[in-house]
Amino acid sequence: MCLQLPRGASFADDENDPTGSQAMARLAQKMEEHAAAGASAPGMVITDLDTVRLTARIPIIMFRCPVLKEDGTEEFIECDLSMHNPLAVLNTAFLRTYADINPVTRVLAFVIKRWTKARDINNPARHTLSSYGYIIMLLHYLTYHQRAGNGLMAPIAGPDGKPLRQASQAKPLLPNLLWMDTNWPQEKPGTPYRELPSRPKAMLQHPFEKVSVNTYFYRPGNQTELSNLIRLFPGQDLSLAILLTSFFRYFAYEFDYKRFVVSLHSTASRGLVEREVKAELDGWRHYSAALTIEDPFETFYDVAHVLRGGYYHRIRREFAVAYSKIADVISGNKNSVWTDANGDKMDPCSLSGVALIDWICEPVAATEPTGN
Amino acid sequence: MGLLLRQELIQKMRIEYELWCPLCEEFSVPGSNVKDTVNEAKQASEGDEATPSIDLWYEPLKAFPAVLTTDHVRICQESRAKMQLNTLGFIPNTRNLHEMLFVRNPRGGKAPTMNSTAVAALNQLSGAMGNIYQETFAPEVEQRVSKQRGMIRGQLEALVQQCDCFPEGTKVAIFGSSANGFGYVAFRCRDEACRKLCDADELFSSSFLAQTEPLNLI
Repeated sequence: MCLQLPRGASFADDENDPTGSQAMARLAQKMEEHAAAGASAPGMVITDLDTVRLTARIPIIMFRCPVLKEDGTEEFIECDLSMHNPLAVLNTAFLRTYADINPVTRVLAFVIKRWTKARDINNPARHTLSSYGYIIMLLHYLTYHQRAGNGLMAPIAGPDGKPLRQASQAKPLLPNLLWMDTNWPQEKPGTPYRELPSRPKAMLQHPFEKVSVNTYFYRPGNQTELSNLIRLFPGQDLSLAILLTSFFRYFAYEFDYKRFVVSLHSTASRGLVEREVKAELDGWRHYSAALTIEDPFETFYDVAHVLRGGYYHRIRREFAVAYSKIADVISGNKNSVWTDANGDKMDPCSLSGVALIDWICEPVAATEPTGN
Repeated sequence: MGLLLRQELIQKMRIEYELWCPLCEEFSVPGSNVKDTVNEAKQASEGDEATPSIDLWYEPLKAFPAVLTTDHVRICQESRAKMQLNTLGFIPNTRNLHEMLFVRNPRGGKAPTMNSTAVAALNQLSGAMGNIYQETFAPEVEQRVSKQRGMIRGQLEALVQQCDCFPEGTKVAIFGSSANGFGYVAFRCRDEACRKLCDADELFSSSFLAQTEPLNLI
């Protein structure tokens, strides 16, 4: 959760408390008094109040709230409250719009999250990617690919990431909410998908940096507009398995991470975003052997900055492992050399769908990869 | 390509390609099997000269004959697989979905037919993905958790409003994985708190967090 100040408002002591940490400390004190009163205080019960991150760049108060389950047992909900963070809220609304358009996106994200956690590649503190990073990768894949016409997927831009001359021919699996023409969803059925020639500006002062950020994205303003998007981008006829397999393949073998950036600003008419351009505009590292992921709004921010060469190779290897497991099952590869937990040779061809997911998400012991 | 380069050169490039692993980002050095093959080939053509030691990945290729056969390609593929097993711990399957899903029409028609075994395996995987998702995000559990979060949010907001260090009208919003539709407990979140997420600021006043239809995935 985060505090949201009214537009244009500031803290009572804005000059001496630019980050709001003092105001947050006073709130924490109030919460402590509330916690000390325990069950006698009206409202929620607060326990385990933790103020260690009050001095962080974004002050945060962490606490837990006990709640009763239906069977009468008690469980705790972990909560944290951070200072005013409009970009994070904006990002939430952006992702939420994608989640609402197509349930397929949520199922894929769920399986991918489960896979990344099981394979120990979802821990920024240990130089692997955050869940947010993987969601951006998934959305990049879905907004940069279209139906190939035979049940499979193909990139919307030309070969080698080049922009298409007739970009209107390419309708992605999910709309690019940053670049889709806002009039297109309301037009008569059959009108080719269109992108904006330039992105409208909705500038917001960054809460912590001395820059303004363009926060524009197409957001349905009512149920009709959302229904239009759901109708125009149906997912029920897409194969979840083909999407998942193609996603793994794309990032294992096809995406040229040395030349391009994973970005939601990659469209049919713009092509893939090049690393060379990001290096020039935002000073990103150009020659490192690791993936780079552009934040959709804070475009100067590399979501994958925690990665180093060796760690990225491990992630890429995991993409290839996951793809190879599925590919060996569907191609009936009798020569595969997979072994089970006991070290015995296994026959992947006999696996059921559930067993295949369990195999892809087979837990791996947390290890530190070698490399820099 | 055949018009630009001699056939032998194209074959040589093909052989070199077979030694390259994009994941290891290196060429495999042909192992003892290849060395033996090369040695045999050299001995047959040049007599019993001593074989030079192999230091670089392309050294053994120099001894390959001008006309390469499928056996030479196989030797290189085996060499690469051996390196991948040593370096990566598995042998990557690089066949694309089109190759695996479509097979040449046995009746000789132009349109390829679908491989029924591959289709069945993919359908099973799709079904399992949908089922696991539905089981994990049982609507009653989600509703309970989101209701609880909504209550906490509301009570916290009341506490914030009692604090004089924040301007009047300060609200508490749920953000991140609890509300973006991709979290473990936020799927199909329908409570008032989530809907208020972006109403708290005029900038986000057009936010609309709609509920979606029940899933029909397969």
